[in-house]
Amino acid sequence: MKPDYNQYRILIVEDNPGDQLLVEEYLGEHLQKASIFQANTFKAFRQIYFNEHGNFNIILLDLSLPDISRENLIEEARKISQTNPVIILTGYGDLDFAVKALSLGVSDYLVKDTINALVLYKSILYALERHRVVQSLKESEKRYMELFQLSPAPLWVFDQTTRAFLDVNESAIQHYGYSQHEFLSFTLNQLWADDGLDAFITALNASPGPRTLPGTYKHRKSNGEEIFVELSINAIHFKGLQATIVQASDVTEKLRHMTAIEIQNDRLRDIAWTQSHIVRAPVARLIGLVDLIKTGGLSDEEKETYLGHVVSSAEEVDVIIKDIVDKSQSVIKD
Amino acid sequence: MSHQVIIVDDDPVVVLMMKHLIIRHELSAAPLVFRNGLEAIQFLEKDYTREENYIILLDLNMPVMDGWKFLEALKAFASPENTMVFIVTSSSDKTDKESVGTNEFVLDFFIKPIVSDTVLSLKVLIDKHLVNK
Repeated sequence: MKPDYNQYRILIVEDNPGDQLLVEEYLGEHLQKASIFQANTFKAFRQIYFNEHGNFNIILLDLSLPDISRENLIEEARKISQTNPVIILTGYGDLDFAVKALSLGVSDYLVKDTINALVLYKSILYALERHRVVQSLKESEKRYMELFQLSPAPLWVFDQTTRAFLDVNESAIQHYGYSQHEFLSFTLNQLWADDGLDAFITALNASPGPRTLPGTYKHRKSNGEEIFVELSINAIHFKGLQATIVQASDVTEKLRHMTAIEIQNDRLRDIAWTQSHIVRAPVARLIGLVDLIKTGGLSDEEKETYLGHVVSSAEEVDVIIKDIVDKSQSVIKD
Repeated sequence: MSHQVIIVDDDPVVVLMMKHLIIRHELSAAPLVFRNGLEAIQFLEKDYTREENYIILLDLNMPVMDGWKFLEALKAFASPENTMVFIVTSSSDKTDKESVGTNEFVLDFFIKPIVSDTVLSLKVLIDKHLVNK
């Protein structure tokens, strides 16, 4: 096997000087550039760890130290070194305890009599590699949780079976006004302001894949205010459950604007109708009357009558135009 | 064969002018006037005969029974051969013209005001219709 020239900082926690020497020898066979630190009590371990700011690649931990019981040792050691990989070195081959140790986050459990330089070296390499993978997983999980938590759009995850909320982001908490605790004690029912929940579930199950559901849904905020939302959904596995992630877009304002525009449109249509039907009538009458008077053949009496109609038709036009002006002003005001 | 001119319009001034022009241009000496479709239909139901020709100047927007409903009711007993309807409306709304455009009774569509020229072109259309009959 080729010598390993990578830099390592290794802390050996071991009270037996013979074992200390042996471990150091084993390490030296493969690691050419290892800085070895020694602690022979639990107290010394803690001190060195903090003095060096936890800057170790790996910790080799003997289970039998003079100042702590082996039952407490692992948990206490994990408290000190939360992220660095720890390999247990022990004189006893106790399988049950080994399994328990691994479950507490220990990377490996080695019995001193059975190891040699290569076994120790391999254990360290595996522990470091596993550590690296776990760290990057944790980072990616953190990154995705941040994407969820920091999203400016309200997001929530709910259980498809129970319809209970499994997670909500900060934006949802702020928008709806419920605390995270309240949300997590809710099912979808508490959010819906009307009986549209069944329609939502039907739309949800209609087809797979991420999509924005058609239409809007009516939700109630914690202050009782009712809002209209558009919902985008996708399926997600969440803590072992079949869940759905939902993004809610509040379209209440948008709908209000639309309604206002529709009312204005109605008014404008009304004005257009008035112009084409009501205004036309007296105007047509005026044109006809003037034509009659102009073409002659009228008696004085007839002429008098028609002129009277000219005046009243002109007055009628005036009234209608005033009405249109009023209606137009009400459109402009809004 | 004689003909009967019927004005159906709720605007008395319009009626006055139409009457004047119809008499002046000798389309009829005594046109009949009805203020809405229902009055006109009630008259025609009683009076209608195949031996007479009817020239109806029909307004569209009227109270009680408007021009469209009048045309519907006419179908029940009248024949387009001797019943000639001219729509006379103040509306310049194109959809009005389109919706009566295909009616079998309607010969033409006029937008108010009715002036001398309108009555003269009416006479030409009536003569043509009666010759082709």
